[in-house]
Amino acid sequence: MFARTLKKSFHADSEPAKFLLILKTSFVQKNGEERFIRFNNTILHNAQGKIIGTTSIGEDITESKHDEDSILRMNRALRMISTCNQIMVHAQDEKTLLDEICQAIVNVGGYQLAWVGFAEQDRARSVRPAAQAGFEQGYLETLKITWSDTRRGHGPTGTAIRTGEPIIARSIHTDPNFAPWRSEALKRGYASSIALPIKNKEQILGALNVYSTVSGAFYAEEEKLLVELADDLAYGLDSLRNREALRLSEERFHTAFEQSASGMCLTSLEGTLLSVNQAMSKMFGFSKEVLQGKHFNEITHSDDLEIGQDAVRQMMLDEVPSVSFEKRYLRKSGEFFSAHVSSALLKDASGQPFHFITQIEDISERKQAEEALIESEERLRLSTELANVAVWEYSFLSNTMSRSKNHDKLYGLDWQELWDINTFLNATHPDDRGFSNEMIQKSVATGGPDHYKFDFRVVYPDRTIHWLMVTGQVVERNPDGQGTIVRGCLMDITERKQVEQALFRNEHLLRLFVENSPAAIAMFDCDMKYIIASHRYLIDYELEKQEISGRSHYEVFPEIPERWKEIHQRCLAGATERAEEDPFPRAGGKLDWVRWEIRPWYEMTGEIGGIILFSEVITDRVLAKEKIRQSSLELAALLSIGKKVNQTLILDEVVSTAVKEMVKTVEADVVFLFLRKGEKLTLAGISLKKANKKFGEMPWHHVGECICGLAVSKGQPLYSRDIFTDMRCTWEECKKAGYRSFAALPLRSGEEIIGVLGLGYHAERDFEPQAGFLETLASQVASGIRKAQLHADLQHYIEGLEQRVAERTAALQAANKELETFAYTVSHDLKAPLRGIDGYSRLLLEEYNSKLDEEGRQFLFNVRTATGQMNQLIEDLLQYSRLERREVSSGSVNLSALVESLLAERSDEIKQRDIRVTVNIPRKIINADPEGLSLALRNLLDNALKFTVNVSKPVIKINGRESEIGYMIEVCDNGIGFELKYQERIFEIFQRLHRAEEYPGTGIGLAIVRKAMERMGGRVWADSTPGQGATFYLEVPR
Amino acid sequence: MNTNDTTRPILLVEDNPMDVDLTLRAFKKSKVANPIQVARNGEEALAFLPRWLAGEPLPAIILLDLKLPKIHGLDVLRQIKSHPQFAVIPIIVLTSSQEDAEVKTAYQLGANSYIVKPVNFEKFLEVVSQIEMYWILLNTPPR
Repeated sequence: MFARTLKKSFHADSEPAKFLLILKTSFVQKNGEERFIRFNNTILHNAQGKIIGTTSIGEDITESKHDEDSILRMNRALRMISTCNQIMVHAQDEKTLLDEICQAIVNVGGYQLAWVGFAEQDRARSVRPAAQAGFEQGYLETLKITWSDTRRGHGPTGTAIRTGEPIIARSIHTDPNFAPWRSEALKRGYASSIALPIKNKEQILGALNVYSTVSGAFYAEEEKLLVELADDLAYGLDSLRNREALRLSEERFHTAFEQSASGMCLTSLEGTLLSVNQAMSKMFGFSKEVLQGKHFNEITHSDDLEIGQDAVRQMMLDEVPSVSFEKRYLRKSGEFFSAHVSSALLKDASGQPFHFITQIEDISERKQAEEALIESEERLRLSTELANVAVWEYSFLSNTMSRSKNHDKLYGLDWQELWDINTFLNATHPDDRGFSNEMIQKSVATGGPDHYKFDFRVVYPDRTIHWLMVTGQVVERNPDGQGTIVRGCLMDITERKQVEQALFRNEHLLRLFVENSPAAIAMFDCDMKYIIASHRYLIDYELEKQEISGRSHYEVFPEIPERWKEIHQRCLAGATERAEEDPFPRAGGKLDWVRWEIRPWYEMTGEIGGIILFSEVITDRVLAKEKIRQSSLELAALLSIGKKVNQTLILDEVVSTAVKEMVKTVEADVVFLFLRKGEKLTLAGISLKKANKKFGEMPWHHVGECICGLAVSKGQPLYSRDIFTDMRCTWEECKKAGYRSFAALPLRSGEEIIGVLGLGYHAERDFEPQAGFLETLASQVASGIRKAQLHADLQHYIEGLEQRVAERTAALQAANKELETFAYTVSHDLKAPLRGIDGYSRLLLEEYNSKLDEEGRQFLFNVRTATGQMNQLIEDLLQYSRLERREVSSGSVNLSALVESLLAERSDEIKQRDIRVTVNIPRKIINADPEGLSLALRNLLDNALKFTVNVSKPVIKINGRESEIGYMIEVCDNGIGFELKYQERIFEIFQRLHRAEEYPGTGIGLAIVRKAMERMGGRVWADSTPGQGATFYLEVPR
Repeated sequence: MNTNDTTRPILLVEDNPMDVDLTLRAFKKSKVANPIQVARNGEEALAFLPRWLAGEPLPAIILLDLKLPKIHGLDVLRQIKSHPQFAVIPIIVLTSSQEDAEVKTAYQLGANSYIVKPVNFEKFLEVVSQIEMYWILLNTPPR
């Protein structure tokens, strides 16, 4: 070529000139490397201009040639990347994406071939071509690449997948790793290749393989761009797959959510309903639109608000991941209904809570929901039965096959005239040919199994891949034992495979879903072996530390009763069963209570695959309920005993009722009741369950003696399970009578222990669970006894009181009598000698006057004055005592007339001393004790007269007027008055402010006034300023 | 004009010798003509009843103290006033006591008058004089 070009240039340029010709050419070296040479040819002329020869200088320009090419290729590569990016943005599914990317690499990037192989997770670790473009001509089918660490796995593709690094084969011609595929590659003109790993964050999905016709392609810049492209592709694939998975999951969730028979809703953290399903809308009677936006509180029974709030708080505080409880809701109709609620807190990737998902089961409608579920499962099963099945029979003698009409269609082929093993193998996916053939040959071979069954792939002419399942049976063997006729059937299981793949992809999700379900769920296979169980289940049944997957339910719980095993069998046969409250005696002896529901689950085939157990350990709830029942029985017993012991106030009756009722209520064999008197406990009552049973000597105890006495001294209830071994029980009678367990309940009244109840049982008994009840019973009995005792004391006290009143009355009467006698004696026996003294001193003065001198007469006069004073004192005292004793009479008093008459009595003195007396009393009849009032007024008048003796112009004013409580009379004088501090003292008997010589008096007058007023319910008081007179006030009530 | 029989005695029932003496002196000062019989206690007073039955002249009046040894004045009063024949004899209770109860009882038993003995001798003389004036001179007793 070089020579020809040179020659041509000679001819072309025949002009004699200095001539320079530059030629570029390339050649391939022995080692296969292509080199580029530039020749500079100069024509040599002689002096006459005749060409005499040429010079030719060759220059190796391989490097610069490569540079040029690489710029060219870089440009194309950049355009290719840009095109690919657009493809990735718009791709809707994986297949399209891959196909278009491959095409872009070939068409835009100018490469010979591009294909994508996925790393299969099968045993052979095969690389499955998923897309391709460019000049291929069956190349891919010949590859059989693997990414395992074998010779076929050491090619660029396998290595790239295994190592995650791009692998370049700059020269297919020489690359030793390319050996297995070299001849096929060179045949198709591939000179170099690059295998780029397609990897996402977790794993290597496969490899993008690009082939160039140019040897030594894929230099650094280009490689970088292609690596970038592969990464973009991985990202594109990832996002497509994620999008798909998400869509499936979302769809599944949405379907589950929307079609769930239970009410389901998503709520905000604040409790607002964000999304509700149809069932919930129906349950509440609101349309979904109305229900969404409501707050949970609006549809909750007002008494149950706290239950939900409590649950939310627990979850928000991270105390529990999920809760379940029962509460009441409110329908639109205003009707309430009970629901079983399960709620879980959803968290985003960063662990921040963002929603609650809540499942509400209307307990009243549970049955209905169950039926709906069965119906829907039935539909599902029917739809899976529409599978397309073909049958065939193959004869190894004639290598022919007879088959049903639809057989070939399952391979994507029209009816074939001849069907032999090759037809089969050709239609089969290259990767599956080997093992398919192997399975068949093994079965047909001498001693092989008669049956085989496997799934394999076929590639339709349109290159789509379908899954078939074949079952075969050797029906005839020749004398050597080799199979001659095999018969079987074929089924398209593509759909199932897809479902299986989808299932496989979603298995993790499903597992999470079950495991994290807020309910206790366990799934079993037909042999009752665990498939999966939720965390809640493991916690509730204390299985956290065990591996239960694959183990039998009956091995995990050997205590499972036969009855339940029968239920499991019924459910495995298709039944759905449930129980609201079912006892579960545990292996450890504990009795648990569970609420459960068991339903079968179905395989794809529609067959029952096992059962699902939903359960809830409700032991606490049942025990609480039982406790409530027990409590209400106890309460009723308490009320009954309380009522009975309070029906009487007679102590003996209270005691006998108490012991009798106690025997009944606490089912004791004997009940003693001891009452305390000081340090002694006396048996006040005893009751035996069997009345005819003889009990020894009637006992009595000391405080601190035996268990009953100890209960009293310690002031606390004491219980003995076995009195025979209990050191506290010292009294032998109980043991002789055969009692085993004993309770001693002190009877307490305030701080005081008033007695003790003893309860004896023949059978050994644990008092602990009943202790509170027994002690309350005892307190009821104690209060009844205390009441009776108090009543008796009161009776006793009343009797004593009556006795004392009688005694006091008698004493008082005697004292009165004495006083009367005294007054009588005073009037007679004191007055008689006075009269003697006065009489004889008078006679002495009269008849012995002449014999007495003046002084003697003065003495006698003094004697008679003293007698007069003595007489007055006696008179006043008598009057005072008479006031005390006399009966107050109530009558009408004409006040002005009374005052007039009193003034008239003293008129002599008034006239003589020229006292100005003014009376201002309205004519008025008032209601008062006439004698008392008269006495009081007289004494006040005398008082006024007496203390105005030394006043030059004496004035006495007597005024009367209505007052608040009745009538008020003022007696006012301008006498010497008194200091206010004495205003109380002057009314006391024998109290005098002056010496008798100044103002004579007995010191009884004002005491008489006060006594008289008090006796009629009135009062007297005084007001005065010394030297300016005094005013005395009398007030008489109406 | 004295239409009354001054010969009929006055019976003084009084245990205190000084009072007896002073009363007698007072009668004397009042120039009472009737003879004075004295009973020193209730028993002595009642001892007159058989004598009166035997024919001794009935007293014109009886001056009766109440607080008497042995038999109380009120018992004496009751026995005389409950006697069919002697109930007509005017009985003047002359005593130191002015207890309402005694005054009331005395009148209920038939006393004709109830006079409190004054301690002051002048007043006592006056009382005696007035008794004499009224009961002996003015009053006409049944025969």
